[in-house]
Amino acid sequence: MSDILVEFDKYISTNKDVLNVLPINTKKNRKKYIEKVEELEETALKIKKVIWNEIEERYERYIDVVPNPKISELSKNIRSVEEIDLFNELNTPYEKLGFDRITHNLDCFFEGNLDFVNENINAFINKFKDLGIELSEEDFNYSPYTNEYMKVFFEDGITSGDFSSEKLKKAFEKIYWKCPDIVTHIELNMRYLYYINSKKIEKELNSRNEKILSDMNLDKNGLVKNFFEMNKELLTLQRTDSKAILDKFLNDEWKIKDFGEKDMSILYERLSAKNYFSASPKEQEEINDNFVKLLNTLYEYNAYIKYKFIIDDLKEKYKHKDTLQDSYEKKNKELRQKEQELLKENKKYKRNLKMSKKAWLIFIRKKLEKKVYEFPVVSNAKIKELKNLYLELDEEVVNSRIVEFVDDNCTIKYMFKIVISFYTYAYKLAKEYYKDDPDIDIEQELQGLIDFINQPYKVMLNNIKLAEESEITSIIANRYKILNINLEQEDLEENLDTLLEDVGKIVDYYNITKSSLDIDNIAFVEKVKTMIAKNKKQ
Amino acid sequence: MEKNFELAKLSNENLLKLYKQVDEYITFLEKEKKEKGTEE
Repeated sequence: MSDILVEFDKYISTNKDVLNVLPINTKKNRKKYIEKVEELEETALKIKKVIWNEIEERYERYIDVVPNPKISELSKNIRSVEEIDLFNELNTPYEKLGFDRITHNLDCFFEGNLDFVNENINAFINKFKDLGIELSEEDFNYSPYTNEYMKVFFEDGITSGDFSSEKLKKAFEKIYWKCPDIVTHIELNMRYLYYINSKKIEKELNSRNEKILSDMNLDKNGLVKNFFEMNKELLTLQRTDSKAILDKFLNDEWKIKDFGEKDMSILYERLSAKNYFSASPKEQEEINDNFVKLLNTLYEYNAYIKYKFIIDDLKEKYKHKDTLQDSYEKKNKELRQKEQELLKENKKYKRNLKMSKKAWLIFIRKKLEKKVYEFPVVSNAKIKELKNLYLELDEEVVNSRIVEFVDDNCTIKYMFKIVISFYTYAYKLAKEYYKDDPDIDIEQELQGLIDFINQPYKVMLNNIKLAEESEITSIIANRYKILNINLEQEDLEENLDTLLEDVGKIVDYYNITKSSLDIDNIAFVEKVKTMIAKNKKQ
Repeated sequence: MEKNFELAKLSNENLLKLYKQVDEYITFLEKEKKEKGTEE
């Protein structure tokens, strides 16, 4: 016990002795006794205040940690090469520039939300504008209804910038009752507009990409390498950043008791073939580095299991690779022919409408009016047919990439990259996979896959080939046995969550020790934080 | 006791122990005051 604690203990005992000998048999004596107690209390409260000041001063000093400035600097540099998606060799400018997300939004999330529809139409128009293509109502002639709505959209929405206006709502409602498929008409009109401008857009994108590379003085491979290397450095800095670690304790995400020496010894003993605590600092560093590698592999394996259904679908397509040759071209040709037929019919309709108002011979007028009357139903049936063809074409574009890029030597990572390059396809697969689980947020699940593919640690999936997929757990276990880690295939197949938690804890512990934080100070902060909260409540 | 430099020398653990000691002592004094003060 420290001297000061002993001294204070004596001080308390002495005071208690003083109180014990004071008589309390009469009212007067009791009054004197209370006066003495109050005097002692006043002194004790002063002492308490002095100690609390010292506690608070230490607390403030320990939590006064700033994030490593390199983190924000590196994040800024990464943002400057975030356009890496524009260089994806697998997809087309339609996906690279995010047109697929806009049409996908209209296709999947309309559900009566007109503001959402208008926001997406506006985003589409703005993307074209950014590419130097100015659109007008005249470009929206997929159906008379599309034209009718877009006329108001340009006149009212674009001019005022208010896409929730009453005028737009009224125009939409009026059309909706005549044509409930209006949003599909607009969506397909957009896809058609992209198609007829695709060459121009591709040229513009290529010239922009060339400029990006020349400004950075890099080639495409250099840009990709730069992106992943910077992300790797950022991740390492974030994982060992004192501020980030301390925040985890302050936010109750981590508890210091979970990193106690006893708990950590048990974990190291179970997972490391070498005795960690008797190892030299250099050996300890090596052991921990191997656990960091294992944790990254476990994250990869976990993501692989989660999204395996996607790989399975691609593999099924790959089995029938020979039948997929030219299927994209054929489907595209069929679609474009039907689209031209529709557009011709639209022109005819406009002519008939005009002439029906002018025709003076009653039987001609009646004939024209009949054609005008029948047109919406015929046109809508054609648009529905076109919609299906577009959906089939979305599938065919993925098939065409399988034909071009997939063989037995293709890595699992590359298969995932194909999927995230075509969002509509990935969404359709995920929707089917999670059909019995309505609580799953499919967009969020897919974002998880995109984030995973864009993070730098994909050593395993970057190397394991399609042909080796069945041996994946044995490859991982053997790899880490060589690095003196006790890992069996069954741990991966049956206890992955526990394994992730345990290895994660070792890596967290390692990161704490690598940071500038002191475990004893963290424990102090954790306790004082609770005391402050308690004091505030009182 | 009011000399800050002495407290500054204490480890985190002992500083918190000392605070607890004072706190318990004050609780004792308050209890005494209440009990003895209400006796007739």
